[in-house]
This record gives sequence, structure tokens and C-alpha cells, in this order.
Amino acid sequence: MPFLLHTLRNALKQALPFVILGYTPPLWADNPSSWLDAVTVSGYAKLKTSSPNRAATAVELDDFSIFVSGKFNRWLNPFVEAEAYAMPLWEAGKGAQFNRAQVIVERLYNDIRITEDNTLRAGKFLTPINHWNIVHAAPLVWTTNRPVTSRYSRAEYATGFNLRHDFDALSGNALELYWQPVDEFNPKPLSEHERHYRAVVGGRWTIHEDLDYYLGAAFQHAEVDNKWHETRNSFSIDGYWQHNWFELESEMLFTQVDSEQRHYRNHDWGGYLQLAIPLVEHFNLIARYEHFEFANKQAATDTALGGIVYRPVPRLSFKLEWQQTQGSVYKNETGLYSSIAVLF
Amino acid sequence: MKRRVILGLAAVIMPFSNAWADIYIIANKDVPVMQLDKNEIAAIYLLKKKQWANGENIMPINLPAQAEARNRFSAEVFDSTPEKLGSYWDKMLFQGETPPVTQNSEQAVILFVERVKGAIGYVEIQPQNPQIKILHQFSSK
Repeated sequence: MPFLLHTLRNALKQALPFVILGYTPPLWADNPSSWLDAVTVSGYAKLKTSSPNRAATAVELDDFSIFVSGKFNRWLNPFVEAEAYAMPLWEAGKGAQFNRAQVIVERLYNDIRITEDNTLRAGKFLTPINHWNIVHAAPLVWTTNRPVTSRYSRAEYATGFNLRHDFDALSGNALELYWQPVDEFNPKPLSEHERHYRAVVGGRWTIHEDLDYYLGAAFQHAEVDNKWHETRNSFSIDGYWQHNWFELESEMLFTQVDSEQRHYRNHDWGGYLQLAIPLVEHFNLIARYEHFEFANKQAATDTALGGIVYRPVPRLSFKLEWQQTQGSVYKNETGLYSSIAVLF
Repeated sequence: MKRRVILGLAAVIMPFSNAWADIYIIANKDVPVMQLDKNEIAAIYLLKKKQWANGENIMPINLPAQAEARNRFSAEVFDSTPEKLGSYWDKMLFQGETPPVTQNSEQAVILFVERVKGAIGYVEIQPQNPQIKILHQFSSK
């Protein structure tokens, strides 16, 4: 017995330092010397269920995106994002499906910090046409469906150069000018009423951007890659205001359209107003109204959306929304939609 | 009796003792500034000021979301909350910016800042270390 006690005591003595180490808060910093510390790997995923009035209920992995960025020095700051999108998983009447996956290089560029206030971006990037486009990842926006105004009328990507000048770092006052001299690199396959662009030039003036307010104005001239020699000149203004009790967001857009294709009016124009109100813990109520008129569709579209978003943690959201549309339709069919989105 | 009163007072005051701590903005001794004002600190943590004057990358360091010091830092510098700043950094991450690196404890922040040339952090413990300089002090209210 004494032998056993002695052995036990010895074992405890041996184990004690490990137990103490295990419960001691970290007193060391991560080793920062590796070049890997300059690399950030992240991504997001969105699983979407849609039940539009005139189509079958379907479940799809709408986005699965991985992005990698490096911050090495003022000359070398690469960024790449690869995205698999619109992968059907299940459809009413057809059952489970795992037969299609589309993958695209969504962004691929390098940033050169010419001076502290001037940055030159070269490669494929998201055009700064509005705030929604540059932060469009599903976990970062309030709704499963995107407003028509935020995406329909202009080039969402450009392959070329973007020069950004920051007038004032704190207020976010900045000017960006971009130019796509040739065709877009690795473009998404087109669906109905979508366009590829041959040449694009544009700019955005961020008037103010901080934690509570954003206001920006954008211009874009684009030559459409079609047989009707179509050109588009768009002007827009967008903004948001985050108050403790609500968040208000809006965008107004006008695009002058010059085309040999038969069209009903020589412009697109529209806008939306969106309101998010925090309810009880982690639940938010979302409401949006949008009106949009298309150059090549006779009827305008009017969409009212109401929904609930549950965000137990900032990087995870569960969305449920009803969308009611009248008039023409562009990816905004009436119906019930839900999604789970996570940023990792 | 006197001892009981003192103990009682201490018990009442102790829960609020965190509110007494100052917040120190610290940086590696090699950064080419002697002090920063509140706006400059905000610009760094909003990832809008990215380089020190000598061209070295600025590397802002954070504490975990539940840390009291982070709560106070968010309130002092941004008049905001850690959640709101977290959402902002998530958006910046999607835009290709690197959010502040999180260290698990104030001691870890101090050691990180001591070792990495461009690092800047915030702590409630006043560091006594020649490798570190204090760029700003937010006094307790």
C-alpha cells in the first residue's frame, strides 16, 4: 500500500507541471517570423432554398468561395478568390442531384501601394459600382435575394486596372478610377438578360465611410459584347446608415442605353430602400421595396420583400424571406426563399 | 467593526475595478512615431492607415471579443462596440484586407508587439519593457 501511495504521489508530481501548463493562459505570442503570417485564407458558403411561385422548389449550394490574400510589401499584395456556384442539390420532382458544379475565378489581382494614399490594383476585381457589389458575400448582406438595382445594369467585374486615392483615411473619403481595356478574364456563363462587356471604364467617389455611415457615387461607361453595338453609361448613388435601433440602406441608378437592339426606352432606372430592425437577441426584421424599369422590357418591376434574419454570431446567418414581385422579372420571382450563410 | 466596513466596501468596489484601468496603446520600439492621437489610432484599426512612415507594414493586434479591454478600446476610440467593429472587419476581410490579429491575452499582445517591428496593440497593463513604447494613454473615467 505505501508503495502504491508513493507511486501515485510520484505520478501526480510528474503530471502537475503539465496540468499547470494546460491551465495557464498563453504567455507567448505566435511566432511571427514566417512568411505564412502575411497570408490570410478565408471563404464563405451559402446554402439556398428557393420556392418561387412558377418554378419547382429547389435546394442549391449557391456559393462556395475560398479567398487567399497576401500582404508582403508595398509591391506584392496578391488576392485570389475561386468560387463554385449554383450547384443544385435537390429539386422537387427530380430528387437529389449532384451533377453540376460551376467554378470561376471571381477575383485575381495584385495591389501596389504607390504611396500611402494611392493604390494601384491590376487584374480581375469587383467593380466599385456600389457597396453591395464589393461586399456581396452572403453572410455580410441581409437578404438571400439581391436587389435588381445593385446588379442588373452594369459590369460587376472588370479585368484591368483600378487606381484608388484616399483623400482622408479616417472619413473614408476616396476616389477610385478603373479601366478594363479588353474582355473580362474567366467570365461567368451568361443567363437570360445578362451581358458580357468588352470595355469598361468607371469610377466611384466614396464621400464618407465609417462604422455608421456610408455614402458613395459611381459612374460607369461600358461597351457590351453583343452584335447590337450597345453602350451603357450609368450613374448611381448609394448609402447606408447604421443606427442603434435600425439600419437603412438605399441605392438609386440611372443608365443611359444606346443599342441597335429593339428596346422600349433608352435607359434603365430604378432604386430600392431597405430597412433592418434588430428584434430580440440576434433576430432582425428586414423590409425592402424596389422599383426598376428596364430598357428592353416593357413593364417595370416592383418588388416588396419582408424577412427575418437570425445571426447567432456575426459570421453565421439564417435568412427567411418572402418576395412579392409585379411586372417584369429579373432574378426576383415571387416566392419564399431561405438560406444559411457562413463566413470562415 | 472597522475591518468589516473595509471588507464590505472592497466587496462593493471590486466588481467595478476594471473601470479604473487605463488603456495603453503600445507599439514596438522601432516604429517611427512617439505618439498617436485618437484619430490616427482609429485609422489604423479601421485598416485605412497601413504603413508607418518608414514603409513598414502596420500590424494591429486585437484581444478576444469578450475581453473587457477590447470593450473599452472600442468605446474609447470608436464610441462603438466590439460586435460592430467585428462586422466591419468581416467586410474588410472580404475586400482583401487583413483584420487585426487576435492574441489570447494581454501578455501575449505585449510579447507580440515586443517581437514584431510594425505591431501595435492595446492593453490595460502598463508594460515595463524597453522594447515597447506607449503611444497613447486613455485615462480611466
